[in-house]
Amino acid sequence: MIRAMARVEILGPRDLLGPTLELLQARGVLELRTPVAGRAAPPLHPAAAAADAASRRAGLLETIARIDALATRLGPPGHASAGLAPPPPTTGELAGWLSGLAESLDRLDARRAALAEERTATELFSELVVALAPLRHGIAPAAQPELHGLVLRTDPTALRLLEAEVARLTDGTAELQSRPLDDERTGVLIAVPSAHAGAVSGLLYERGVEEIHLPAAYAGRPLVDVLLLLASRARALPAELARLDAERAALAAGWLPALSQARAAADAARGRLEAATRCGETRFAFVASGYMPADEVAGLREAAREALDDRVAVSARSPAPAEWPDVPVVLRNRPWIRPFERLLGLVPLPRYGSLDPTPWLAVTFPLFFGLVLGDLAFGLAGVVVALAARRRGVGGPVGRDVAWIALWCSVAAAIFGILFGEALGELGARLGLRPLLLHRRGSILALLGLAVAVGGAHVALGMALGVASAVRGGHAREAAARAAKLCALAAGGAAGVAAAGLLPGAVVEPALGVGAAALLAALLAGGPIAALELVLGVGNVLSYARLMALGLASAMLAEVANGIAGALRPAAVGLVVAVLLHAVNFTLGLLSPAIAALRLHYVEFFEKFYDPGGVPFRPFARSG
Amino acid sequence: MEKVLIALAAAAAVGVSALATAWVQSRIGSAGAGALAEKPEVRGTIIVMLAIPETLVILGFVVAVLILTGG
Repeated sequence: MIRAMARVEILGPRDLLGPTLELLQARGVLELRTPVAGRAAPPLHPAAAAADAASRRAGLLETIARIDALATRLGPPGHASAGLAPPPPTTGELAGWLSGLAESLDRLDARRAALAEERTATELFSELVVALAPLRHGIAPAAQPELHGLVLRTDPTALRLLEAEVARLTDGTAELQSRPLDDERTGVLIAVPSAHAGAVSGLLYERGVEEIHLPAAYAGRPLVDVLLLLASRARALPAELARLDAERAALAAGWLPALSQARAAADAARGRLEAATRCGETRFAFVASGYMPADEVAGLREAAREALDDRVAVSARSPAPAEWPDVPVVLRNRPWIRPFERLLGLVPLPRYGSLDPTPWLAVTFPLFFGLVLGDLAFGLAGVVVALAARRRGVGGPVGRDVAWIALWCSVAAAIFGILFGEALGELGARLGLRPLLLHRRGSILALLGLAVAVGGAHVALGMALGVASAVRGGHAREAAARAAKLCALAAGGAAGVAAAGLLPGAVVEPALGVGAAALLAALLAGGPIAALELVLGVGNVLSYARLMALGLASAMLAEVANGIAGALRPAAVGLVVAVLLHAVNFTLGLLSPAIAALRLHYVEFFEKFYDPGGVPFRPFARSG
Repeated sequence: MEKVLIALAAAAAVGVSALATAWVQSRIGSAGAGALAEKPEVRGTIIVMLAIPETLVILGFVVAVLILTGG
């Protein structure tokens, strides 16, 4: 059913607009609408000036983006620890608070990047120095020799050229020593007196040779000392990096909850700012207006009285029929019916004041599904699959609802399987299962009659709901036309059944008379289009023949599977093929009846009474 | 000979109506896919429109059954 809504007006002194919006946001029961001032009332203007609201909104959005960026930099939350309390989002303090975190992060990241770079350089240089440690350069310590480490692709010609160029630049004072590191790489160490070090660095830079930079602490040391220092740093660096990572993790653990709080507060402030633009103000008062479920009004009134010292008035009234098209729609059904609301997801919501078809769907959808599938074994398999999916929580809330629908469809399929005496087609008969209602493959015309009779009843139900809907909406003439069409269709159906010999022949003439009178009434009430709609109604009823067609196809496929199992030799091959065919039939049996049943509801059933175009209910609430 | 003609008539009833349904659904399906890309909210309407011509083949099937069973 569609939940009854109330049009609510909240009136209070202007200074209480903020607290009122906070209360409304916390309760999340009211969908705000721009209030309309009465003729005698003072003019209303938006509670937040457009320009001011836009700039504050932009500021809050920027804050949210900044918080998101910082949270991303902090990484996924580990063991969160509470403690930090963020400043309110509407003050300037929050920006400083976030800047402090950004600076801490920058410092830690820079330190970590330096350590990581040192570790890389250390690893590379260790390799080089170990290879070249036996070599000694002959430059006097007084010349303050500097070491340049290179790892080059092994190429003797290029190495000779480099040696000649270095000798030319340093007047032969530099020493270049090389040793193969492996098959492809050669380690090169150039010892240069500090007076020529710049020239050599320039040469390497110009030629695009990547130099392995030693940290500053290594400069001017003898090769053996460099080797010892490298070994010492190689041992110390992982611990330093781990300490830094731990420091960063502690920072994340402390800040992430606070950032989350700050984000929620900023988002809530943005929501209230936007809500304020939908509220009206006079010089002294504010008014907030909107729709909410009628049974929640008392709770809101009580909460407002307690939180706002009884200084705010909450008035509510039922929406007038003229405003029904604008009233948001909330469906409320019993828990076992609620999952079937998902089937309405493919069509627009019903309009407020019209009928919610969910309770009917909950009965007729499984019925049609079962009528088509009609197999005890498939039904039981469906029950097992649906219960397992529901138990495991496959697909989250949507999957849970789908499993619930599948469960009842499978139960219906099992029941119809018993009525038709089918379990994997004719295998049921071999196990003693006998048709209680009819034998589908042997009584095709009876099955067709059953499908059309079900269709007639369903379409008639839809037309009856259409009459009720028109009466509810106050459209007397339309209600009369719909009732007359229903009567004409019922009379025509009775005459047809009597003509087929299922009712006494004496019924035919009176039924036709009643049908003619009803047709005349429909034409008078609904105009010539009523005659066309009646013909379409007959077409709608005949469309239910698909229940027979799909059901028969399913039964025939099961029979083919059983036939193959019996005919193929060796028997094992036949069994495998039969199992595969039954599996295909089961899969098709899940899809085809569901689509056919949905189509019958959307096209044939809903057309008679469904009034689409309802507005979804979007209460003013905290997001998330 | 009569049985052959009956079988052919039944096959024609369901075959021709199936071809007609397929042709119409192909037109509606391609147009619907285009509309769906632009306006996802019309998916319900498209499913309904796509399902409407199915009635044609169902009625063809019913006629074929009636031909075969002599009903």
